[in-house]
Amino acid sequence: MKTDIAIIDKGRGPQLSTSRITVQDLVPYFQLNYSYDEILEIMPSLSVAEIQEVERYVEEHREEVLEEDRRIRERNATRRNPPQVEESRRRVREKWPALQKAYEKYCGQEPNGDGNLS
Amino acid sequence: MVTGILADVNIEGHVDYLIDLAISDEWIEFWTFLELTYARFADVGLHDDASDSEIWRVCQEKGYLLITGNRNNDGPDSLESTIRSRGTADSLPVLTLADPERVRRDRLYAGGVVLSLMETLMDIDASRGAGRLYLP
Repeated sequence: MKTDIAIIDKGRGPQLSTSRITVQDLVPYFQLNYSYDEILEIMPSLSVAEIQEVERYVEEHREEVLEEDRRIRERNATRRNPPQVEESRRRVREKWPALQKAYEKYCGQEPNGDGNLS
Repeated sequence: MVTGILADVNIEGHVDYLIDLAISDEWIEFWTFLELTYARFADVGLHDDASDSEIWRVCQEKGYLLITGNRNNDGPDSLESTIRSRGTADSLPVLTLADPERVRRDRLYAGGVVLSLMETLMDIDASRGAGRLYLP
């Protein structure tokens, strides 16, 4: 059993002293009202006590945490892969049409660029 | 050399789910062709509190592609900083789930992630030196 669980900052934002999992790693699941069991399915290395420590931190720093969550979502929404990587993926699709067919079989129709169905 | 996929501890359950899809009937022939293993931190000698720079070193030395989320600051020991300071033209990329919480809630999103993962893996040399790549 892990002891001395605290929130510290090693330069990656607030995180658990006992794990590399950060406060912001857990925020989306708190926002979605995930239960402890559901969170543990995603992060099985955590203990309930560690989740509760992060939960306590979020409650005590709510505005700051939500502002950082907003900044992270904005940042991630604008990030794209380098052109050579997208070109490589296009070449793979041409060379291996069965890959696209596997996806279509999985989904039932054509995907759009976001991985969603058009 | 690419040995396999390594799940970061912050999205391990999501990567488990994606690998389950990768070995399902639709995708199994591609996953088999790639001959990759799927590893968690303990499998490669990493602790749950490993630093980004330590994980980067293990991935490059042992040939693993890390799949992670991206909700951290870009501090001195962060993945971004490590990629900038230690990445070379031959370095394996880090694969990032753009929206990890959607994997289990949105089946089509999960399928899009698997498709883009397979596309990346089928031509991994084209992604060397690219740093952080996003799935889907």
